[in-house]
Amino acid sequence: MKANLKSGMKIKKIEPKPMFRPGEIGVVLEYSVHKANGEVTEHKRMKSKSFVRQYLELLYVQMAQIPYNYPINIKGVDGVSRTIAESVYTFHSLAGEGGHTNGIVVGDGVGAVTINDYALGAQINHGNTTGLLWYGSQTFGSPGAGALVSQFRLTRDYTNATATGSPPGADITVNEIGLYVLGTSVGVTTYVFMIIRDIVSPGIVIPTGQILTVNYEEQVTL
Amino acid sequence: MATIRPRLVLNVSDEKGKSVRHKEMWSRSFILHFIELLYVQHAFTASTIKDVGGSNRSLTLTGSMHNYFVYSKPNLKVTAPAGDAPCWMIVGINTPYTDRFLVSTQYTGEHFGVVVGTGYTPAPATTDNAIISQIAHGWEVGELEYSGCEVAYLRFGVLDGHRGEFSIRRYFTNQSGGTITVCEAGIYAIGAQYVVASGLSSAYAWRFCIVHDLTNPGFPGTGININNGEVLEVKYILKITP
Repeated sequence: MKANLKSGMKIKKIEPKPMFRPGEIGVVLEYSVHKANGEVTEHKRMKSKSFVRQYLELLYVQMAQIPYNYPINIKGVDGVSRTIAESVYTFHSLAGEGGHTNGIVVGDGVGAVTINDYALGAQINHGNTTGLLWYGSQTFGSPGAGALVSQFRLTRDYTNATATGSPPGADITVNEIGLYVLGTSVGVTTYVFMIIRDIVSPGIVIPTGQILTVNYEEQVTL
Repeated sequence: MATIRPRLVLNVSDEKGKSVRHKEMWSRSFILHFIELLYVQHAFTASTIKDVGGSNRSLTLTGSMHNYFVYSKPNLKVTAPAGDAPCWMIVGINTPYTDRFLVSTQYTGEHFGVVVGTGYTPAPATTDNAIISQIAHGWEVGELEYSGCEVAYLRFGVLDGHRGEFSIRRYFTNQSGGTITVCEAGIYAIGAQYVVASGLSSAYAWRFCIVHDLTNPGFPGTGININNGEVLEVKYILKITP
């Protein structure tokens, strides 16, 4: 359809209403389930409810430039406290296809979120057999700002590929979503930490052959 | 819902340490450059960001830096020495000459960490590159003595309605002989570029404005007064808020 504008008319760009209060640092969680042909069967966008303590701890490490001879203890996703200092790898979230130990991760745990959570309740790992999802690469959207909101985006796809595996599959339900990142310990060893955990209820059902796409947008609002 | 909602605390004490003026408010203005520095860390990638002078700076991260610049990777660094004390931003091993150390840009303390100014704008913008008119470190008319900038008091527990926090704090002493009105506050953080080469590696550091607040929004030329001999404490408390 062709739209005709009279000379002198201005197009007003409408910025979406911010989801957070002025001054807040928050995360927007958005997900969709779609078929291989792109048809979307489910879509939701909401405030992420749950920075957990490791987010604040890693931000502290980097802002304070905590040195290697005086590291602080932060609990890794394995439940073990690690001595962590400033690093190029702080918050590192890169992950390739199949890399389910870093970046956005999903699970089927249903336990309520607490600030002291250090891992998903029950992570769904990468694969194409029963109960597994095929993890796509972790990707990032460049930072940008509107009049009120500055943000960047992390995106990841998960395919229920169990139909191609053995045994052929069934629906998989995702009840929790989180973000795993790196921090660095003495000896230049990296460990994995969870900085966000969200429960989605009811769970997201991914039929065989369909794809779940998850976005986390880290935002600050004026 | 757990978000981080920064609180800005302004407290003026007299020469005896008694609080004479106090103001607290929600910080309104973490801005784009904070998000950009976080993005560089998350995505482990290069990104171009405007520094406090308005110049584009290319920040980089590479895995080899991890070994070359063992002792400092200062993206997001806001700790700072006192106003006129110099600080090397990046110190590392200049491979392959592992007995030599490479250092980069040097700034004095007044150039990063918490900063204050006399400027006013109807509203800080997401794309601000600096506070409007920074008060310089010193003892002359219109100057304030900058202390070191600390990042401290990381704690968790059942506090007053929130569940975790840490603070970024700096003191400013007025020894100028007159009254100074602080109308704006902000935080300048460090971002780094590393150029790793087989022979000689290089490193550069720049300053980026990640926070810009007005101390009395809506009232140009007003803010918090600091009389001669008084000390202003500026504290940002980053709280995880349920």
